[in-house]
Amino acid sequence: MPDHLSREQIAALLDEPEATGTERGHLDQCEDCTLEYEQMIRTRMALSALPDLEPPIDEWERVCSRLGADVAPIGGLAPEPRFTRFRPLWAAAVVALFAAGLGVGRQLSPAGNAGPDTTVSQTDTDDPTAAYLRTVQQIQELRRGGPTGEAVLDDPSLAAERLIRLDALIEASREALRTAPTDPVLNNFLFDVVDERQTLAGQMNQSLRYTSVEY
Amino acid sequence: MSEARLLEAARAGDQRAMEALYTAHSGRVFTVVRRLVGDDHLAEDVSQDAWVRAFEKLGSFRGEAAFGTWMHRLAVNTALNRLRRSGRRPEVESAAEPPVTPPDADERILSQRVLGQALDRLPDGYRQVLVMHDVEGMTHEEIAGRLGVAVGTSKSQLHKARARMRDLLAPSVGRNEAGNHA
Repeated sequence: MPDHLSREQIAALLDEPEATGTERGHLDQCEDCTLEYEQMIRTRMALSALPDLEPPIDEWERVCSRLGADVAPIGGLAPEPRFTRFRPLWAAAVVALFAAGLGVGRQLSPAGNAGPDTTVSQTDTDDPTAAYLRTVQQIQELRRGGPTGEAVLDDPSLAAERLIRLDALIEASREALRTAPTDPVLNNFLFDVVDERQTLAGQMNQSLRYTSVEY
Repeated sequence: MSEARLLEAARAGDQRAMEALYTAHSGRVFTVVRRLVGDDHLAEDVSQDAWVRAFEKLGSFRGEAAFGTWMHRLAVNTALNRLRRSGRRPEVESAAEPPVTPPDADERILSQRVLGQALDRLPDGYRQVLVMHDVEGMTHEEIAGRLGVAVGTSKSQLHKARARMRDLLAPSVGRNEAGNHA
């Protein structure tokens, strides 16, 4: 067994949390390697929380020019971007989670059994713990909202809607992580949602191979 | 106006509908392109190319997926094709680069600027896999399909990329390439 694992070996262990064997055994016993492992997780989290960038301000004009079209000013037609239809709700929920949940800790994991109401109610400032629990329940309800289950895989439009919901939730979570990057509940929550998105996107991608969409 | 109607209008050549689609998705497109190519000027070219191609091929988009999903795939493919053609940088750098920030054991929060700098300094092959997997959330199967490599290669590149990112962000004291004490 080497004195320490290489960074490449530690990077591989990041994708295999359940792995056993010599390397995992070393990691469990070596303080230095555990520290490196944790730093790598932080780097990964920070990467996934990077914000979107702004495109060049004259990009639309250049695209129009290349297409041989007249240049129109941005904002002439008010679109209804699908992401933004959900973003305020998700953002409000996640921000509320942080407002109420900071310091409450991991023991209050998001496992609530919310009622059918999917609106985010006002945070109870008198009782942060109760407010936190209620917000977690509401977020779970929001997460379960919309199309879920096997039906999603049978209908591309439902799958797309689910993907959009997950994307909106990921964006909102990343936004909140910028304020509280070490909060364990939100980190776990983001991991779960990213995993679900990854699985769904993979299944959609497999389906799309049989369509006639071409690039 | 719904996205379906916008698409229908854009296919018919309605420039305002095209503009609406662009406005809704341009940030996401530019972001993924910029992160993949690691260079501002190249990203501007590639992002523009992706949009021109999208509008030229809008007729082939039949709505099985959301427009954003289709556009994202197109943008990624355009960026990867451009990098493949340019062969700009070797897959693996020959010399170790200095870190982008002084090592700081107490630093818990990585700034976006520092992360961006480190990403830009990765070799193209490493950066592509790292961005697609750890930033965009793609699976190794998807990445392998896009890059035309084996799944095992995608995994191996990812692990090397993460290790190189750590080298750039904070070289460890007393740890050499093999992981042994220096």
